[in-house]
Amino acid sequence: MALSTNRIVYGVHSITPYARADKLPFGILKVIGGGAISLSAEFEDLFGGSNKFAWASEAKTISSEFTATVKSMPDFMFELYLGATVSTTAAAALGTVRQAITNVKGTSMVASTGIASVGIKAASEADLKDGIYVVKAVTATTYDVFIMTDIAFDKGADVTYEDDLLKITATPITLVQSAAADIPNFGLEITGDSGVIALVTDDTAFFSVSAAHGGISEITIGKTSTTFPQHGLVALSQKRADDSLFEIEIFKAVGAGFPISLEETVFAIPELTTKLLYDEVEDAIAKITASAGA
Amino acid sequence: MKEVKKEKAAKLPSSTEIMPLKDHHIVHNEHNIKIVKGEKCRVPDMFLQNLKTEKVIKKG
Repeated sequence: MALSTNRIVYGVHSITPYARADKLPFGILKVIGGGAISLSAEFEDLFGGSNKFAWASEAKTISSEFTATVKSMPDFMFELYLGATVSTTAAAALGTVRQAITNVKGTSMVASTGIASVGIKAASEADLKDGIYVVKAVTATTYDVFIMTDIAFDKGADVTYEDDLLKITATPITLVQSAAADIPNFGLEITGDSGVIALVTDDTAFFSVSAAHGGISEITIGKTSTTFPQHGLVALSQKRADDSLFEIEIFKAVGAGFPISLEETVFAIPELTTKLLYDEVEDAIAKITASAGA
Repeated sequence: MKEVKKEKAAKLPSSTEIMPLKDHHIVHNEHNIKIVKGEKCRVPDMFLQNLKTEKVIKKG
């Protein structure tokens, strides 16, 4: 009988986490650096007498881990590995006020005697600048506006900060009862509520805006209700020149945590670590399926 | 021509002459009104309530 074809594994193709309840995939990770199963055993050695070498050794526990380096961050990854809740907003060609104005310091800003709402000014959508905005009462009827970043200051009409405190209003804007006033060149308007305007100086409120976008995911991490759901994983090596495939299915995994690094001129490549657990139904932790090319 | 003039007149906001008790600045859409203490000026009526709140003019 001739020797069998050598089983040679090369590269990585994809990693697909799936829900154990119905085996439906969460999605597929294709922009990945690699995935590795690590099964490391601890041994109990028996020494005795004057012999310097062990008489016996037995494997104790086996630590089973699957680590993967991924180079993209789909929503489901945050759910599985950071226990996050993800809410999405559909694409909007005219932009979105993704966080309605909310009081921060004091309660006078968003009130019947303060601001009713922040909206996108009709026909000025191209001027919208992405960011988190803070509105601060300067007097009983006027306010200044600040924004946390200038990353989108080139959208539509170009703007600049007014000072080092990131103010964008050259002169405080007047809030008028039941009337909208625009934040010049930002495509936004702030409308006064119906009561006699009576802001408390230095009170603040905030809102956030996305200019025209192809969809937004808001990922909240660290809620008290956080759980890290058990899931299955299917990882495949690259298909070789002889059409052979190498598949690893992990039946029951739990993962927690991945670093998100924002570094100068470097792509974020988080490393996922999952623990492999014993699956009673499969009576296994994982299964390798290696199919040779025809 | 007369009809056009009427339309333009209708768009002008009604205004009131005030005698400011203090300096104040109104910036609101196309309005950019610098009010100087002691200098009479006209302001659109929509700002009168604010000016009372800011004590630029007397209440009542």
